[in-house]
Amino acid sequence: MENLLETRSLSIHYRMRRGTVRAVENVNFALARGEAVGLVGESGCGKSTLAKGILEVLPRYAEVKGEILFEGRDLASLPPTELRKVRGERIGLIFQDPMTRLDPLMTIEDHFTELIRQHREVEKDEAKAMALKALAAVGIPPSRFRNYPHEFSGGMRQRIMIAMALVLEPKLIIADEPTTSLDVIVEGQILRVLEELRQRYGLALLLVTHNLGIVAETCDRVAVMYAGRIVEEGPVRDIFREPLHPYTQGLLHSVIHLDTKELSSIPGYPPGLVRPPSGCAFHPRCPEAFEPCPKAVPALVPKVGRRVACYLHHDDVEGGATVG
Amino acid sequence: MDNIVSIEGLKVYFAVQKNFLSRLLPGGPKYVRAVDGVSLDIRRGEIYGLVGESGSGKTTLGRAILRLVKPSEGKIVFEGSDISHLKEREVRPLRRRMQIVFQDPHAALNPAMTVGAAIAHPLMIHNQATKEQDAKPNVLRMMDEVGLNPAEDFYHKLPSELSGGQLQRVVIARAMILNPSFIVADEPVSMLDMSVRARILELLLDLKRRHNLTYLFITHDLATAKFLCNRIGIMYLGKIMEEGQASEVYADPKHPYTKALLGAIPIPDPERRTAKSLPRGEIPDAINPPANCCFHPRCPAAIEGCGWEPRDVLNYLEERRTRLVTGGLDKDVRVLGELKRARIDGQTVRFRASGDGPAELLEYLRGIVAEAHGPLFDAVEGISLEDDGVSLRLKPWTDIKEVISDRRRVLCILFQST
Repeated sequence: MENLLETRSLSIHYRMRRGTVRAVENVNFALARGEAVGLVGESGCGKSTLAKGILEVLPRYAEVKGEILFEGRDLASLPPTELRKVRGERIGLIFQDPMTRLDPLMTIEDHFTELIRQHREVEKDEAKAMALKALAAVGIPPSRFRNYPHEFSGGMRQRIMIAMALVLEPKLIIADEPTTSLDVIVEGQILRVLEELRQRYGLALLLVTHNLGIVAETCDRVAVMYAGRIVEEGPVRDIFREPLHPYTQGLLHSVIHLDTKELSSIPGYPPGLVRPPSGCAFHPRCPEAFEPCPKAVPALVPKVGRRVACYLHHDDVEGGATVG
Repeated sequence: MDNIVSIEGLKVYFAVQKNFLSRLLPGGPKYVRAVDGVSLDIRRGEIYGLVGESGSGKTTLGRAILRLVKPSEGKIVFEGSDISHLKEREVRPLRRRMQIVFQDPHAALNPAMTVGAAIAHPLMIHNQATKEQDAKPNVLRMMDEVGLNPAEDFYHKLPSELSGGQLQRVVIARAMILNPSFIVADEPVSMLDMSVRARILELLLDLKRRHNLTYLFITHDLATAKFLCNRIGIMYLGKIMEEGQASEVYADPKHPYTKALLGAIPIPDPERRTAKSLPRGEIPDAINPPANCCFHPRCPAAIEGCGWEPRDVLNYLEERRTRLVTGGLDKDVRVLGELKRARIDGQTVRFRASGDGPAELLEYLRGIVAEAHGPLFDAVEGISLEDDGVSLRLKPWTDIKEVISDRRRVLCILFQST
């Protein structure tokens, strides 16, 4: 199957006064049409930078190496006008805090009119009809069309963001912690709306989150990031049933859920990305670290239907590998 | 039973700032009813979990107990003495016995103060040390106890040099340094990474055992509360909806709100994906909470007598219009007019006829009510023609009161015998 999105040896570094922050290191990652993939990891693992890199919305001091292919075209090589077209029209965005994307001085109508007419040559009336339909699909009544962002609750703002992301019928939605600031009931509502629309329009979803529960509930595949690299990637069912990487194992065990009988954690703290530990960046916290771990970065190799970057699993590289 | 904290009928109302014009208009001052009549006891040695969504008033309740905010009404008794009306000067000595751990350790610590100075600070405020140097042995011992070791290394560090989990240990050490008996822990792990949360919770449990502490554990996370707490109270719009032994509440939740919260928690197991039954909408404004049972507009188990009022009808009609966007909206707007122009008078809502006159309006509204289902429409008493419009009357509700059901306090009319 042709990949909708693919990154090839993607690295994103930030040059700062305190040194170079290696936020994303050599990431090879693909997403098929219509697929929902969760990108998970803890704060500072590079997952948000990766999402921003795909959208080409990084700060100017970011250095990007490698390729990002969307529908077969390298985004970095596109002229700015083309890129703007892809972003917003072919790729929709949803952020954690809708207020960073909504202009407090513009009504919801203004937001939609501007967005739609930037991308489509339509009359105001037609733009309005498109907007009202998109808003109705996420449960925002037409009477609120002329309201300002501050007149909505957090959940409703996020619904508006979803409507804006979907109004141009994109092929891919990138959602960066879309429900993190919402309560659990509203989180459930938002995820349901997103899932319904995804099914209806056959959208692919890249869900960036620290919440493994919502990945289990919404995604087909999951990629686990640690210190700027993908350490394990594969079908959600397989990885939740039998995580291979010791970090994935530790992360899954540390989730506190209703059936939790005893607490579990990973020793130490997530590393900084200026001077990450040598070799496998997880080795200082890893209960199973052995002699090769601090020496060189383990490659992400295929293993029983998934990919894993850990020397414990480097013995039978050929074994049943299907994911490339 | 020995209660360390005992609260009776506590209300905390915050006046809403109003502009000049609205102050001239009738209606009197408006208040956010953050805590709206809460009674609860916290027993010595227990972990009481106060669980609720943002906007439920749980944080305000925690702060009111510590007298960080002023109660508007009701009584707070701490270790046997009524502290509800103490002046700030009189409250201060009590803070040695009652402390707080905040949610965001980055915001809770002064970025220019070293870890050592921050932990020593309460000792100086309470005149237990005059110089930071005098406090140092004490501070180092406490740092060691909360896992900031080697303590000497951390002592001179600034908050910016520490991770989130380490900062929360500093905040906990600062709360513990005065040897309190009661700690309000307000979402102490919510901002921390999953892989370090468990260790902070273990530290809290450890300190509790060693120092005979009592905790009020405030959280939105029912899973963490289940693991940690002896008893829990579920809070919604300033009121306790359900309270009981944690094990019993989780095994058999009574209140529809408790059930909804439990059902909404994501399960980290892709094999157990199920369709959730979620309440509609979001937590409403605490300035003007829904009548009678404040959960009734969202409640999946609501019945006729829960508290349906005219604005519920208007909200229904507004929401209905989202379904009419693809057809029928123009007619709806023509016949019903702008919904905010409907007039509310007690349990009656009056629509003024526009379009083709009151007869069409009457028929249209009857049609809507006839095809709708649910408790709101069971509560419709009648629709009738008036001079220039149509009025819709709702039946009165059953007044809600707290009842005990299976050793559980429940605020829900489903459990009231009529």
